[in-house]
Amino acid sequence: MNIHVEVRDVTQGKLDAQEALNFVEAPGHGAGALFLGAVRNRNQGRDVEGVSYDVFAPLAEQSFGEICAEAQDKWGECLRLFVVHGKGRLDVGGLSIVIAAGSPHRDEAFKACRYVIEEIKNRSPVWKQEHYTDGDSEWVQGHALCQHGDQSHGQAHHG
Amino acid sequence: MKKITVQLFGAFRPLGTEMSFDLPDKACVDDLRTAFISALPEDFHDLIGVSRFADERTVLSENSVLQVDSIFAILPPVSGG
Repeated sequence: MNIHVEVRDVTQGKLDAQEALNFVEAPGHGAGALFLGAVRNRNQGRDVEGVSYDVFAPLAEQSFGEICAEAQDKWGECLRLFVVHGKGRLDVGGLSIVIAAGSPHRDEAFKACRYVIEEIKNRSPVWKQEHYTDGDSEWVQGHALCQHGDQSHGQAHHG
Repeated sequence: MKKITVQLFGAFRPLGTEMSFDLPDKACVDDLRTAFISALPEDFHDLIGVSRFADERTVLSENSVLQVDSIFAILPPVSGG
């Protein structure tokens, strides 16, 4: 199997970039691209101390798999892809998502990695609740899903 | 009648982890949306309008008939990554 997708409870274990890179390695692959998403300390002018990630895990993993399959259709069946998204509360700097793409050449790896993160942000059932240093918390406004989950509209307010 | 249970996520979490509704046997997603609007305070109506319903495998169209043995969720606008 050349695709690994998973929703992981971050209280059970941190997300691991090396695990992702190891998965996408292959003898015929000269390129590996890695994307790490982390909690940042400021958003929309407010100081953030952490983010809680809420996930409808079965559908999220289904959507990750579909997105990875689309990437293989676009950039080759030999593409190896790894996606793990965190669930639960993370402090600033904590990894919320790790994506890796391995391919024979760098162009496909870069493009596939970018495609997977952008599609996940638009299509996958994941929600962020930001926790601010003043003690307040808010759910981040996101992208409304279309009926079939393959497009989106609306505005994202968090990178 | 059939009992439909819907898991709550994101901005619906303050209401709990799930809600259940008794709906007619042939009820579809649109009927479930109407039931949500009837059950929740007006503050949530705009959010319900931009949310979608799903089972464990796909986002459902408004005319999808609700299967009793499925696990449903209401999905407010997403913000993953």
